[in-house]
Amino acid sequence: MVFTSLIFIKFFLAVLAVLAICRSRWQRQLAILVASVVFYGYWNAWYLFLLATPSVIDYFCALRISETEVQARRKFWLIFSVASNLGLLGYFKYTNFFVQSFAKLAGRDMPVLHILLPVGISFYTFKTMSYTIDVYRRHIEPCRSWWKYAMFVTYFPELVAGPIVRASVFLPQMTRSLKPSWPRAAVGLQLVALGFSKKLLIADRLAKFVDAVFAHPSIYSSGTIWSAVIAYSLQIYCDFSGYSDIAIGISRIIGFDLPENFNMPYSSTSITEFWRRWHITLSQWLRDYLYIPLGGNRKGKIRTYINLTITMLLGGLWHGANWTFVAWGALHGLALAAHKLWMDSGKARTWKVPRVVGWAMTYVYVCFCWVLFRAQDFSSAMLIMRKMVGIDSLGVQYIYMWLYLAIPFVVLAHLIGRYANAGVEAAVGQRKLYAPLWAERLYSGTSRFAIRPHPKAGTYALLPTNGFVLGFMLTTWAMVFYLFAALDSNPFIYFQF
Amino acid sequence: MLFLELALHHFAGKYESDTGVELRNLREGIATSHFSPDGLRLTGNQQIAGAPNILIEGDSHVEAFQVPDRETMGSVLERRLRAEGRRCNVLQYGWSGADGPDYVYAAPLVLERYAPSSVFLVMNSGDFGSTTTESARLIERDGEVTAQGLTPDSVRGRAPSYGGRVAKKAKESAVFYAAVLRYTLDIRYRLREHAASAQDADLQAKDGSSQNAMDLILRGLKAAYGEKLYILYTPAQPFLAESQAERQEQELLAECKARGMRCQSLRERMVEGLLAGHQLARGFPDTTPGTGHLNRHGHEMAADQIDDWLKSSH
Repeated sequence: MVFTSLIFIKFFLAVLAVLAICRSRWQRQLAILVASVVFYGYWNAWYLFLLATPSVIDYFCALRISETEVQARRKFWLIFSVASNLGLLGYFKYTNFFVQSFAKLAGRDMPVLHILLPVGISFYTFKTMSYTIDVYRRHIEPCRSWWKYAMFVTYFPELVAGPIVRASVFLPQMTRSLKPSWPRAAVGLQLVALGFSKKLLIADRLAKFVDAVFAHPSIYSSGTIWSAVIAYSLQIYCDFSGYSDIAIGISRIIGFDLPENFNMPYSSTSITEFWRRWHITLSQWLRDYLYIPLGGNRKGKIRTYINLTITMLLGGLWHGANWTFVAWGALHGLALAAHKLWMDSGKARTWKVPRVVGWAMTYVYVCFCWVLFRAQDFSSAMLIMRKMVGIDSLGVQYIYMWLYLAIPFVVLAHLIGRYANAGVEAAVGQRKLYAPLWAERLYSGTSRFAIRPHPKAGTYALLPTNGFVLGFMLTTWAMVFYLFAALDSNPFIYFQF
Repeated sequence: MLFLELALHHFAGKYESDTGVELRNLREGIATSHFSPDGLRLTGNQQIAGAPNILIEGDSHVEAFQVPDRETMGSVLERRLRAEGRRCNVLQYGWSGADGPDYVYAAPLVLERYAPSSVFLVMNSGDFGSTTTESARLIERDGEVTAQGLTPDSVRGRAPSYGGRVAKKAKESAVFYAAVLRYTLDIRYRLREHAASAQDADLQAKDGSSQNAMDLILRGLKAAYGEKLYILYTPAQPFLAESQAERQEQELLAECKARGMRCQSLRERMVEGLLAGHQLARGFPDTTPGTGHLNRHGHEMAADQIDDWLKSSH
């Protein structure tokens, strides 16, 4: 059930109707749990068994961990939980990858096992793992109610493609009434509309061009290949952040606040900054549950660079069971290490790189890496990269109009986002970020504009909330959407992970 | 809405008058096309009075909303032939959704109205199956294949634009026109996709096979157009030198050869255009590369092919 499908819209309206009818909070929580089960089971009912496994195991392990002060026991239950999660993920996602890689190394033929990859397994596995680790670290108390915990694990808006919500963010919100209200819906609907626009007006339009060029890269010219790579950079951003916007918007309507997942990533002036702005919940997960346990930056400079590379390499593998993803992660890890080395060397202070140069270097590097992320295999990735650097550059010149229409919108959105976030980013050093006062004031209703008031910045929902201007903008948007939205919509890219 | 109307004004809308029709299109590429009152796509070249007519007939590939008048295959061919010293007019008569039975049904009309010396029928894979837009069916009686309108008021060839003064005015609105096209060609088409595919399968079963349909169509075409007929098959865009011909294309070429009918495929020229000229014959700046209707390169390739064909057959 894809967010942009008619069946999902009907499903969500039914969920809202049920939530409105329910009389108490626990009834609404139960309704959401049932809705999540229906949502996930719609893909394949057998997946529900898989989803139930971490729901039961991690719930149980977290309770065992909290019940004892004996460190060895606590560790045992933690290892049991992590191993079961990774075992599940490893079997369903990586068995064929490792078997085939081993067979290739050994020069033998091995049959491909028919293992169905359950939708969203990477996301919910990380979510449930973080829960037991947080309980182990005594960052949170375990959830005492199984069905509340099951609701956290199965919560449908972010179940299959994130944002990766931690229990520490989600569970405290269970005390909310969850009764649909217009003020929340007004903001939520803006985000849903934004997500739909990103997905259907930009991402799916660009996908037609990107798919065609990546399918036959040899026939296209260097210029066209560059256009396709830039188009892919926008497609994946609009696809994934569009999904996140819809997930956050839907949750806002239901009554939950999910963390931001993107914050103008292509405005980054360094690769480190890029990863603070791209897939934020995954970056933070990798930082807290992989990089820091590996030693982080506490074991010397060399070890820090190695830790960064390992973290990103595994992050790449998390995305997909293919060596191209591993290479993509490794390239990002190396770039992060190189940037850290540069910053540590002190040269960054004496040799000031203009911000625009930093931005251009970052964007071009990220685009190069996207080639590995998108290409079917290494050979086509190499072919594309050769063309990008001007080797064998002749081919079909194709100017894809939608790309040149999308670029100004994405650039403008990034500029507005950067402007709106100014004053917020000063507090980056602190864990919790607050929206600037003027943003809060705007949201409080003294202004005609609703603005996303989330503490994690992201203030680019700037729709007027009443009056003629609202009618004008909504009508224009609806007409543009009707005329130009892609009809043969692709599934969201991150569904495959 | 007003903003959109102004923004889209140069890209969408249909103006009808006694002197013909002007149509602006933004669905595949951006182009303005002109038609005579009887539905001929104008070539943008001056017509020579009394010169023999060469007719290019077909579906939306010949109607060619996607390319400007002077880039259509007929226009390019006309200029080329005249440059070679041939005194002739090239007429283009195409209408969206036309298929094999429709061409047979339209034959008396186009032959009588335009009296062409040659008829180049531009066909593609969609012409041999049952389509939802067809207006005629073929009937075999005593070994002869003829076409019959599916409804009593079936129009031969391109259907005239209908609607009163209000409808005409409404079509001049960019937003309204674009919205109606969006519904009729995209949304309704998708809503009916399931029903249509089920219906197709049903008809296919009744017809026996596509081979049977092709047999009927070719017999009908031969009977209707006789020696004037040339069939030009436009395949899907090949992306590789070694890409195989479509099944329908192979069958058509073989069937025509067996019946002594003149038929060629644009495939080789498309491959050559791709590999040597780095040009795709299909696709526009706003569509998937290599898909959809013929673009200006495709029209030029078709014109080249017809030109070479005419030279070799004289």
